[in-house]
Parts: sequence; C-alpha cells; structure tokens
Amino acid sequence: MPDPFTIAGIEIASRLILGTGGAPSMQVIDETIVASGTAMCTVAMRRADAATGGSIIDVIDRRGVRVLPNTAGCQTAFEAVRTAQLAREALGTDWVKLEVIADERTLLPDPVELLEAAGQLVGLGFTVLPYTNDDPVLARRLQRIGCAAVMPLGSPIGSGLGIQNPHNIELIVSEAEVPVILDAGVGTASDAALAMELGCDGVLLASSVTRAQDPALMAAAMAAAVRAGRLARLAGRIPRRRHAQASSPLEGMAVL
Amino acid sequence: MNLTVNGTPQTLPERMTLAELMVRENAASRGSAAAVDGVVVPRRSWEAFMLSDGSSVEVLTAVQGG
Repeated sequence: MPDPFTIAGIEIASRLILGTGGAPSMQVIDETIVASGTAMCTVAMRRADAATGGSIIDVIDRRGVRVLPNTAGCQTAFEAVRTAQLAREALGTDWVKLEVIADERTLLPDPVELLEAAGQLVGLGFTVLPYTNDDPVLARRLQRIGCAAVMPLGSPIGSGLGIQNPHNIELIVSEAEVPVILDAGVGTASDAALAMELGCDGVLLASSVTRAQDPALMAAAMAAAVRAGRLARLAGRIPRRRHAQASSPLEGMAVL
Repeated sequence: MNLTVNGTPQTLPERMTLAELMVRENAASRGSAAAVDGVVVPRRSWEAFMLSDGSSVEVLTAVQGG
C-alpha cells in the first residue's frame, strides 16, 4: 500500500530516504535503492578529481529516484550556501539537505551557522531540508525562517546509537508544521520504527544500510521498519501502565 | 595561461572557455558544477565564459554521500 508524504508540495512516494555514503560500490547502492523502495537519495558535492568508481548520478537517474544534494562537510554558512549553489547547477534541483557541522569529531550541527545558511538559502529560492540538532526550539526557528522540512538527528552521524532523546523528537513532531524527518543515528531497523512511532514523517539513513554486512537485506529491513512504525503510529499505541491489566475476562472463572 | 584547478596549478592554452575546461576535466555531464574565483558559474554560461590567467577554478561533481 503506497503511503506517500509531501515536501514543499511535491509528493515523495516513500518515507525512507536513503543516503548513499559509505557503500562499497555503485552496485551495492543500486541494490539498496531497489531493496529499500526509496524515492529519494542524497549525494555530496566534491572535487571532480576525487570522484572514483563511476557516477552516482547515473545510478540514481536509472532508478528514477529523486536526488537530494547535501552540503556535508561545510562548517560555515558561507561554504554551505556556495555548495548548495554548485549542487543546484550540477543537478538542476533547488532542493538541498543543509548540513553545517561544528567540527569533524562530533559532526554535530552548528546551530548558529545552520540558521544563517537556512535563511540565506530560502532567500535564494532553495527548498531547504536542514539536518538539525534534536532541539525543538531550533526546529521551530528553522520552520519560521522558511525551511520545507526539519531533520533532527537521533544521535551523531554514523554512530548507530539510535534515538537518544525520543522526548525531544516527539516535541518537535508535536509542534511541526512541516514534515519531520529523522536524520542520523539509526543503527538498526527498530530505530527507524521508533522514529515513525514517535510521529516522524520519514527517516533518512545511510550508514546503517551501506555499512551493514548485507546492505540490500538491511535496506529491506529498514523499509519494513518504517512501514511498521508508520502503521503503529496511525493505529495508536496503548498507554503505558504501571501495573498489569488482564486481557482475559476475570469473571466466570471455574471454582476448582 | 596559468590556472589553478581544484588546487593544482595547470598551464593551459590561451583563450579557453570554461566549457572546454569542464570537458578536459571529464566533468561536462550532469552532476558537475564549477566556481571560478569563488563565484558559481551557471552551466548555461560555460560556453561564453572565457577563463583568464591566474584564475582559480573549482570543479565539483556529485559523489556518494549521506
């Protein structure tokens, strides 16, 4: 059953967005795109002489999925805006996954530079999807400035530590007027399911699939997890209770 | 003409357009972009853009990335 969502008026057919970083080969990326059923993949922009192993764009175009360039590695608003402009020229899309990191050790977003870059890019006509901290106040500010989605981290990029602060993700979701996409930190399928149970509109992940022992199999697991989490969210979970509550009737017990 | 392309000094023929340089750098196809002296040059302007001595050109392309 298709379950699309909409970003900036564009319908995205799958709630699982796939990052392509970390895969051992283009063949593996191709297999994970197919196995995940994704409709959108991220790419980075790098010097042409550093590019090896064939064209990622050829793979993405062949599978008919949308490309979402990122500004990975940028540490200032200036660098991020320039990189987004280069990506727009390279790929013919004004969508950008905006990343402005504070340092290479934590890869955590720099909130001051991020907000500045987001404001500039919105002004330049970009559809901005910012990778942000799990900070409800920053998420609010990013929306207010015109971002088309907010993409809070579950935990640091590539850490596989899952969702460290589910309460903050819930709070961001409860206030959001744009799609919320959990981005970064997913380690395994249950993390992706939890993101959807918390009310996220989608999940963006890379390392957990591309660096899994069997990337295509993990891509299929992530697709199932996103679907399961989404259904559970729609179904409405039972409240947590301090004590047991019998599901079998207590009346009519035999006297033995 | 002396240019710096992606940080590497290069000696190139006079009167070269950015479009010609992009072909030479194997970066003319979809997925590539260029900035000259820090300014992004739109693809539609590559043909008309004459490179000048001493310029620094960044040639970027889409690669795998999260």
